[in-house]
Amino acid sequence: MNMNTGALYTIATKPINGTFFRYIRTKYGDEPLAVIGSLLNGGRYNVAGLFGALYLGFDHETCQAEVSDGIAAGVPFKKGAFTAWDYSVYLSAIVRLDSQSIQNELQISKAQITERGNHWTASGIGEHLHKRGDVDGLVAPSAHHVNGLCLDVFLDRINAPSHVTTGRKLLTWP
Amino acid sequence: MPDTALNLDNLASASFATQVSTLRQLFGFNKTEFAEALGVNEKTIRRWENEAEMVNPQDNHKQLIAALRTIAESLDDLFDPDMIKVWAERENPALQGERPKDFAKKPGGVLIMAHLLGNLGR
Repeated sequence: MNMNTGALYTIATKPINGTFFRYIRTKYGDEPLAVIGSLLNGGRYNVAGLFGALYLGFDHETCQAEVSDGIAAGVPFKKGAFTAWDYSVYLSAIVRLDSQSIQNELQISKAQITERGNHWTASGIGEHLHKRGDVDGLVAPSAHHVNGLCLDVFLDRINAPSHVTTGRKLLTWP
Repeated sequence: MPDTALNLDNLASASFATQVSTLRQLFGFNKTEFAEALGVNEKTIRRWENEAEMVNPQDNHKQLIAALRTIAESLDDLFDPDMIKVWAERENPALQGERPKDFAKKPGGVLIMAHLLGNLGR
């Protein structure tokens, strides 16, 4: 299935509002808004060197699965390896990639954007939506937690009234 | 001369020479094999593992040096020493299902691992 790249520039956006979570390596635990990791190394929805994205989870379980289930291969982390933060978020324009109708419009499947070890389709979507300029980020199904959802924020694209505010440093994990 | 025993304690704060030597042994390479996997000559590996030699910041292999440091620091940040060994031996879904010690033998394998580990929780 070939993605309809052109649709990424016209596809409908929605607002989103709520509390989201991030598990940060404790060494960097006092930099909750830093996106240097994704900028330097890339992420599922961003290409290294082009822009950084803030990757948040809708819940703790999704965050834990996201850090545990990829390159860590489920090997137990050392005690306190991660620090969890919560964030208060309002974004006026995000694209819901978890929506079946949006997937249909873009001619993509959930399997394509959650494939392990292959970020080709997902990073292409992120790159085009970021280039579009009027999109604050996207919601996507987690590649690592069944029914989990992630919010990927293009921090360099958001303008008032959109905002991302760090809340509390919640806990260290595990 | 035989390699020294593999000590995975405090890998993040170890010298670059120790980091290179430790990762090479963790992935099961001798110096010749590690040089081949990284696409450098064996003399470069010997130079990097020599505590008496400072790494030249103008080194032609800056990207590889950064990748090796990233792997060493990330493993130390994330896992206890005994679990680093488990990680190196475990089939890894992010590495096409291969074990890190096998994936390291692939062209660019070390750079890909550094990319993935470097981004984890950062």
